[in-house]
Amino acid sequence: MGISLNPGHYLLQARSLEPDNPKFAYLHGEYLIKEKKPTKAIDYIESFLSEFGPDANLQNLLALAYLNLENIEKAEESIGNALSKLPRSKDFLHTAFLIKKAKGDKISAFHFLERIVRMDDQPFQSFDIFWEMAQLLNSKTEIKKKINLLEISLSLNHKNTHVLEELILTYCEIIETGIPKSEKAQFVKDLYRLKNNPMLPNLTPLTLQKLALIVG
Amino acid sequence: MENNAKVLLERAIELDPNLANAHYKLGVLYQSQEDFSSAIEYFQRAVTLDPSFPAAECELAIELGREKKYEEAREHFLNALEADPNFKKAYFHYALLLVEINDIEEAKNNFEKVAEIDQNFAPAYFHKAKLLTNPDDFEEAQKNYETAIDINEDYAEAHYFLGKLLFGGRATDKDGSVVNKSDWQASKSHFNRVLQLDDVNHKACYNLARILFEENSIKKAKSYLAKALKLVPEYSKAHFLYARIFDLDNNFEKALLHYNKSITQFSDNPDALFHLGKLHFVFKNLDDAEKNLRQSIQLDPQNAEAHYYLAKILTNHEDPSLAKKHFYRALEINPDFAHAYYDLAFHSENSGDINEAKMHFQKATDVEQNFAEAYFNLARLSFTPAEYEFAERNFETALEIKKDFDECHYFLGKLLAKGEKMTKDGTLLIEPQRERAANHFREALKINPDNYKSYYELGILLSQQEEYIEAFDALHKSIKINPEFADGHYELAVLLMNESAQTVISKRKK
Repeated sequence: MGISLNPGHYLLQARSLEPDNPKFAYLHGEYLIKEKKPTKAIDYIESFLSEFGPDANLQNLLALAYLNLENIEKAEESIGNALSKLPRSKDFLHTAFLIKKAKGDKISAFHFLERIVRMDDQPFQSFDIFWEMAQLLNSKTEIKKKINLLEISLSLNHKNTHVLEELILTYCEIIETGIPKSEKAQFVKDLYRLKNNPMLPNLTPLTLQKLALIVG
Repeated sequence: MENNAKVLLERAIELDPNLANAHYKLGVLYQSQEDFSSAIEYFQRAVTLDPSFPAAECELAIELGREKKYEEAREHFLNALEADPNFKKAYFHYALLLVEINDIEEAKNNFEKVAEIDQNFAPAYFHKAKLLTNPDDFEEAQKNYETAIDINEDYAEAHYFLGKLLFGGRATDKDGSVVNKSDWQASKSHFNRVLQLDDVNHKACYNLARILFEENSIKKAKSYLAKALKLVPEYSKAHFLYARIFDLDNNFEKALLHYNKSITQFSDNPDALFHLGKLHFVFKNLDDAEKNLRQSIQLDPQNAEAHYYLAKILTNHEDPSLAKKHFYRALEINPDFAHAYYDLAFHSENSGDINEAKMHFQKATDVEQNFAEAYFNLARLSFTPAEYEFAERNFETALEIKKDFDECHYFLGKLLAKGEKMTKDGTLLIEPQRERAANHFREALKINPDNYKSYYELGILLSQQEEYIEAFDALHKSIKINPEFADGHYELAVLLMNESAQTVISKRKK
């Protein structure tokens, strides 16, 4: 018999050796979700929890599996259980954000991301959080706030083309709207600064075109 | 003949009841017939009839001493010596009486007096030597035994005790420090001489065996012990020594038998009880071990090792203070008992007191500076980022002492791979030293190719360095060595769930 390269094979061995190990159960649940079998993942996690008792990480994973199936009600219930045990877990707060976002509750979603940012003592790990926060802001009234968040996100990861692109487009958007001249000059200046970003060639032609129209 | 003498003496007394000498002689006759109460009666009559009759006073004193009437005996010895100040026999027996009543200094003076009166009276030198038990008196004791032997070359008892003196050899030098002046060769020759003179002397056989045991001539020692036990099957000390020999020779069944026999013959036997307890401990007969060790401690509370083994047994008890009490007692008796600190540290760790455990591991290293395992465990428990450097230093010290310490390489590798350290201002730094860590895991595997945990840690490390093929091989070896190692299977699953890793490994397989 050859050496297996199927992760499921090893996971099965690990689980049969320690059937009550929540770390192994977590990976199995994650594996099933990755294999696009969220229903199986839910059945497995729920039966594990009923047999071996509650586990916050597994309840978080269960919430993600329900979210995968767009069962928001059950997802909220599961993440509620997880957060009641570990209210300061960034992973759990992020799941809660995803659920609220999927539900369309942007205020709550933004609130969960703010909680993550507040407790984060190593901001360089959170550029994606600022990015996700910015993504939640679509209305014209929130556009300045969105620029601020994207600027922070880019400062934390200045090689990220998605953030760069979004920031340039947002600057273009605000400059094109009717804002006072003094403010406009500042935004143009900021946009001009971005022109020197080394990742600029990786942006889409449309974005580059918009940028060129404003800053030449 | 004796009956005739008796009849004649009784007739003489009938004719003259005041004939003191006849009463005395009749007393001597009864004495020789072991009718001691009649002897006392006649000696008493003799001294009543003749108040200055030293021979009668002396014999009366001897018999009263035999009856344990020490004060009366003493009085009659003094009467005899008053009547005859050079009466050797009276001095000698008076000295023996003083030994009996533990007036040692006076006894020595009287033996000296005997030797003054008769410089060729060997027992005086011999008995005086027996009283010289203080290490300060070693040479004087030796001289007196030798004089007794010079006078009487066949003096078996003197040979025997001189043999014992030279075996022990506890003496002092000029500044009063205890020194060892043992001379086992001379000691052996004296015991051999005893056996020439008295081939059924079981004590000489035993003592010869003791020396041979110390000299590691085990076969000869065994043969003398066998002889001693053939002569006196209930000889407790010989059973004990026999048991020690079997114990050290790993013949535990026979060791057990002889320890038990030694104790059966002499129950107040702390050494035999200790070794029997230790043997039961080794064989995990913990109830028996505990019983024997407790009995041993009751008889000899100063045996640090007995407290230590009892403590080790009590570590299984739900109340951790019971074991601690005996560990501390062992250390109070012997503050340099490194293994007591070491095992106490494990006990503290198992009781959840990590700081105390570290303190005891540290103490073990202070006491025994080459105690690699103690440095290792001290480092193992120093797992906070603030202790990073301390742990690293102690792991390295352990490895300097014991280069082939695979577990230490493994733990040092883990510390370096994690790389969590704290600066003086309290900042947490994560600076893994992956190359050094991998070297230590590899070193552990060179020493012990079955160290599956090192393969496991090496696999995780290589996976972090994106050396997926090597990571897979290492993790796979960990589960090959130990198929029950669940974490190994788990990490393999984690690795193979990583798409980049899966691609590289699959490519290699093809």
